[in-house]
Amino acid sequence: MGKWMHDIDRRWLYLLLFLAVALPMLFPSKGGSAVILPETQSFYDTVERVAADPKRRDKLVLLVANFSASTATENLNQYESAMRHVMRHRLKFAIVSFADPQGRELGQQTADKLASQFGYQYGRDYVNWGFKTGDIALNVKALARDIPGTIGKDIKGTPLGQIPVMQGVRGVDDIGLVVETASADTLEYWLAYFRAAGDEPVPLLFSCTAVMAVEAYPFLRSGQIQGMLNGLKGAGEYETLLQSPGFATQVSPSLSWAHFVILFLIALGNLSLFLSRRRAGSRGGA
Amino acid sequence: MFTPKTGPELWLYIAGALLVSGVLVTSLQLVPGRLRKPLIALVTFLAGLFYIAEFFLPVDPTTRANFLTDYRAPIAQVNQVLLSFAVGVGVYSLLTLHTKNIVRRRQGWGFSVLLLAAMFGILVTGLLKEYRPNPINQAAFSLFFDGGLKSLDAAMFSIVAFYIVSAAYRAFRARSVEATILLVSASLVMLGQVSLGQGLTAGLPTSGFLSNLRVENIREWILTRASTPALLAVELGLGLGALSTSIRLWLSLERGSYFEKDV
Repeated sequence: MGKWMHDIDRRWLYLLLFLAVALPMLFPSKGGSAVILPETQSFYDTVERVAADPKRRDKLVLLVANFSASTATENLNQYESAMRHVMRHRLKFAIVSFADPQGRELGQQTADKLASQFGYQYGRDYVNWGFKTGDIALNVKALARDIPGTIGKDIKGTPLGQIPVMQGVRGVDDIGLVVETASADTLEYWLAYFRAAGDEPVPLLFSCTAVMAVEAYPFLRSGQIQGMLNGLKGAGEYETLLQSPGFATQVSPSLSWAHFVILFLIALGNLSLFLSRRRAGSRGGA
Repeated sequence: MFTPKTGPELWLYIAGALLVSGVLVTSLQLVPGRLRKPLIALVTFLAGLFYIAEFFLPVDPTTRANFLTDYRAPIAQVNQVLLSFAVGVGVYSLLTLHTKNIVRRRQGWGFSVLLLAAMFGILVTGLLKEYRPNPINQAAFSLFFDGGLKSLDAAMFSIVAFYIVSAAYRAFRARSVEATILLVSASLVMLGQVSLGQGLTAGLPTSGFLSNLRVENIREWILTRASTPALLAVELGLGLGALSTSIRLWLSLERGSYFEKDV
């Protein structure tokens, strides 16, 4: 039995994972309990707090799209929910990307999708600063002091100073909230060069892929970030809090079953190791 | 400090920039070989010196700035322009390599045709969508971006899940005490991460001592209490390493095959 387990064809493992992901999508169910993790709750609460704060609600929200289509399943769903939340409270926002040129397009597509639903108009209620190449640290550091000088023009080629939503926006003190959605290690630039560069610290929220989340927990615990969406699970919980179930909620059972398959295979692999060791031990004893 | 230019003034600035760049590049080509490395070292030192001086020089308490602070944005823009050249170099490199593949009918030349077609396809449709926005141009761009790039990118990344499954089965073994601790911790974090796992301990109370045994609370404890100090230690080590490497680069003290090449 141990040998069979050791020699199992990897394609069976692939098939098992494929079925674990596909079947819950084909036959949807409730998918078990829906515990909202504390970091997701604080993410939601921070947006609510900013919207209720008269000092912050008229400032610009930065929706940073530092991701590409490769992690869209996690990041795009997080980003869409964050934008929906911001639009629900009629906060002004800017889309920007420093890490990937696709972020500019994915951010705009999300805005195009939601703008008509919430009556948002480009230029009046939101703006897309586009993708800014160059060293992210230098860009973010410069942004804290001089936003129009660092960004220059929006995606339509209009100087920022001529865009209604950008009136009065000069630097970090005119930003009410930063929501960094990332598939790369870019959070630390906002922590080091932007968050605390103004009169008061700017609330900073982080939504990332699940593999990156572990590295962000120290910042969450120290209070440097106010909330976090952890991968697709975090996006699903956020959709629950917003009472706006979408793709992340729909695929939550698939995610659960995929995790279970991996755990099952880890257990099976270790059982195989145990049996082969026992066999080797009995041979040695004989 | 510098404002965006439009109309004829913009073209004047572009012409001026091209002229100055031409003179500068020609002058650099004329620099003798033995002086090139010191010149690079000097430029590197001055570039680094700006940020160090800007950070350490005292600031005016009312403006929170010193005389260098307002140059941050223009220098960031210079950096954006410099990095943009890398895009041009990348495109040139791709073009020459794949055109040679096609012309010489090298093995797999069909993929080169596909690559160039996709590159120019998304470039042309992207430009048309921006500067001649109409439903046809938008649909053409969407075909490349949504139908091609987005789907292929997502498909490529999702394949990783299959490798994780294979690795989980073959490599994640409790061969030692440390590996067993890692395995148990990872399993608990995974269970606490998903609703099915959370359902296993859903019957336990949400407050009081027994709530600590809920799997999502165990996960939280592992992530925020157990692994945070280790992560901070790693981050500190990385930071110190990055600092020492940065100083060596800044002062052009770094040695090795790349840094000892002739320029």
